[in-house]
Amino acid sequence: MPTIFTPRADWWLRGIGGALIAGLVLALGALYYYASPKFTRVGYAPAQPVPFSHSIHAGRLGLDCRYCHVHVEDSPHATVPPTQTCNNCHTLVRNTDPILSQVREGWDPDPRKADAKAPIPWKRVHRVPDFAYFNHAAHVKAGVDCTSCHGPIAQMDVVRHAEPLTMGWCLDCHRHPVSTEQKVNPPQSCQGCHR
Amino acid sequence: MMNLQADALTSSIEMRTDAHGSEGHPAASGDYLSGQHTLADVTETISRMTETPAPRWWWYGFILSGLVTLGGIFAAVYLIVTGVGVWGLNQPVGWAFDITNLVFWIGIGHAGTLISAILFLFRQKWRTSINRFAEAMTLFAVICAGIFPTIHVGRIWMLWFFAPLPNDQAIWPQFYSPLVWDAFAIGTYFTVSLLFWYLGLVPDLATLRDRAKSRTRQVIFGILALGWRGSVRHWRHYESAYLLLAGLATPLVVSVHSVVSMDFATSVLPGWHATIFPPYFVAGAIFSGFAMVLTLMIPMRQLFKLQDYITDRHLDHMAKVLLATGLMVGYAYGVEFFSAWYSANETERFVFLNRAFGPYGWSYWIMVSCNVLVPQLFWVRRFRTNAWVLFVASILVNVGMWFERFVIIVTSLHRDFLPASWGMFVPTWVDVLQMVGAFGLFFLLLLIFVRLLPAISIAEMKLLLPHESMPGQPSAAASAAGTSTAGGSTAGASITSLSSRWPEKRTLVARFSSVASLSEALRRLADRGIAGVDAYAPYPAHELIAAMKLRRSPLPWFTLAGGLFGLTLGLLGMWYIHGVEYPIIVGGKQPGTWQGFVPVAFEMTVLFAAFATVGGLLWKCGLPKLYHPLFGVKNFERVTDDAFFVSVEEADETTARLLADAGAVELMPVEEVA
Repeated sequence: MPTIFTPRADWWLRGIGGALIAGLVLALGALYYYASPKFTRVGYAPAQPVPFSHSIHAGRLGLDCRYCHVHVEDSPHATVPPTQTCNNCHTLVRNTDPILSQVREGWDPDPRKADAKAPIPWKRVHRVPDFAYFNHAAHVKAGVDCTSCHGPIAQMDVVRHAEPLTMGWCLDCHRHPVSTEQKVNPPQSCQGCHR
Repeated sequence: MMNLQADALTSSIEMRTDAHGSEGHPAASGDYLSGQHTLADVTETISRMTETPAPRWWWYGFILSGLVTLGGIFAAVYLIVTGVGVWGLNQPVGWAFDITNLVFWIGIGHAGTLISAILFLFRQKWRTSINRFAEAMTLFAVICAGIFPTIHVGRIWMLWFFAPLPNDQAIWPQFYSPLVWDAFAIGTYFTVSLLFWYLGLVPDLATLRDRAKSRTRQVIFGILALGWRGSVRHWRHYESAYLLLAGLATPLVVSVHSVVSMDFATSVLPGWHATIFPPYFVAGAIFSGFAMVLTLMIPMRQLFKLQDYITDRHLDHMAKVLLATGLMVGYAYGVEFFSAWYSANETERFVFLNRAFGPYGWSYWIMVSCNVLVPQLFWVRRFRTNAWVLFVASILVNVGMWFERFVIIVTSLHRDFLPASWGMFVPTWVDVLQMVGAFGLFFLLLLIFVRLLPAISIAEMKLLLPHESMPGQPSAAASAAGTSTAGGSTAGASITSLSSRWPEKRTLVARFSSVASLSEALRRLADRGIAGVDAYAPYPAHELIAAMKLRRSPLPWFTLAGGLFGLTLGLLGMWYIHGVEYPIIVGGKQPGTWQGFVPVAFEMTVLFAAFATVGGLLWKCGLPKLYHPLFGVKNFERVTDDAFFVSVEEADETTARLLADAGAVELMPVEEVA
């Protein structure tokens, strides 16, 4: 009776089996690396409608963050400034520069017409999901520096997503808080953030 | 010479019956296989079910259950894209059809491993003809069960949260929760049952491979059979592995439904918070599982004409199990009421009175009549062996057991502590379609199984053959040689031709037609101290192992090592997760206390012990080995059917004569196939 398989069959079986296992391990490794926010979110730096440079304003000129993000100390939201804030200076500084055309056209000096023009459609870079509650004021008041979460923002020409903002990353700090100014006790329970 | 063989035959038969421990009288084993059967006949009857074109009833069943399955898939997809709100769940009834079906199917899944493992350890020979089918039923029931918790979590893409994987969320399963124990218990149960089932299938897959006519069947079954060639050296490890897996599966059977019951018992809900739950659930699971085996087995035995293999005695035994477990379940129903009364707790008393006389009272009385009253029929022997009575009763028992879970879950939930939060549960069409769809899937998988794989264990059935019909009595040997297969030559002729051309030492293969003559040959070879001997048989014949003077298989050490590894891995992992990485206080205990780790540590022990056993078996046997020169030997394909072989490496002419004298039917040198 002729055999069903040749001696090579066992070589093939082990080869294919080994390749499948290796492929599975590689696929899982790739999933771990490429599906993580450390890969998908860090480095996100969309081009903005107006090429606003934090490196010029916060870095070279030394503007305080709170000059534009006015509510960062007393509100959950840091606040994206209205076009008015830009024009506090830019009616006088570089007031003919074509790259600032949207800043000029998107604003009416008459305060009664403040709502008449659409705001500049800035692209959102950092986003915490709706099921996680994040409060800027609580963090700033506890002495967390802006750069802890947003990276070296004063050196960025284009804002870049510097940290993964995952739950594990939040918990790292909540479990081992470093504060020079006061004793803090950040929540680690589920409902600390999911509320 | 003749006398010697006859003696050997007698002694070997005694050994066989001893080794498999029939109940005191060897002749009794014949009662589980009625009619006159031979090895070839057993192979033929069981293999034929998978080889002939599908009968008409099979196609009707296949199309019907396929359509119902599609309905279930539609319901599941609709739920996933819409949300769990499409079910009738509400506050306070947050669990209803979904968990009822989960517990129902997990319960059904208990019979298979009970039959294959626990009855195996108790040497209950009647399990042989039903274990394969019951194990398959177990696997399919666990698959059906798995659907419900999977889709009831809502966001099924988050299911990986069940697994303790390092992740960016820094969250871990909560190992003190019975729901996590449940995921581990069911996962381990499914995996070990699958390994056990597959291990049992390997020799039968080899039979199908060797019978296959088409190239496709040869290759598919060839790969699935892993190159099994019936070697006695392999059988020795195989039997050891089978026994070890049975031992591992036995505590699993008890643990799975105990853990499922703790999902309820560890809550503080009256009606659930009861210490009787684990044994009550396990008894109920065995009850419903046996009922389902009967529901499926009775039509199958009729349709495939298997009355010789699944005899009235089988039905009788299963009916007795139904009666016994039915009584246990009935006792539990009674004790629940007693505990409620004895607790002197108003809420507890109310829940049980409400169960029997409240708005869902009708479901309670369906449960009691189906589960307690119906099995009382089986006090009467006439009903135990009447297929129709058993069939109807088994269906009623399954209806009753479904309602038992419904009663426990829904009636306990629908009356909350405050009357303001009382509610009622009404199933939606999605609930119903999902439930019916699971039945469709179950029957679909079973129908596919009986057509593709041997529904009765071929190799194990051969152990039940009574000695009268065993081939190889001295008188039969010579005639068998002449009439057996095409090209079969008489022993005398082959030895003459061989001795004339026996130039050098080479591997010699001899075919024998009975275990008795083969073990005689093996004994003579062993007495002469001839090395490089192996024997091949269609079933695990213990006298061959004895005749070859083989030592015990070392597989138990693999099992022990695997078990210890799993235990250590489980305990260290949980201690790291809950003691170091994610300290959590549950039930007012210190973070990282060990008591809550016991169930998962147990499951991990069993899981890795099973992996190590199967891995060790493959390693010790050198399998898979798809190509072996023996497969090229004439008639060797009958080794998985009714023929016995011996191979001797570097055999000389004296050895050849020895084999011929011992009763070899055919002597062949191995042709090296390039």
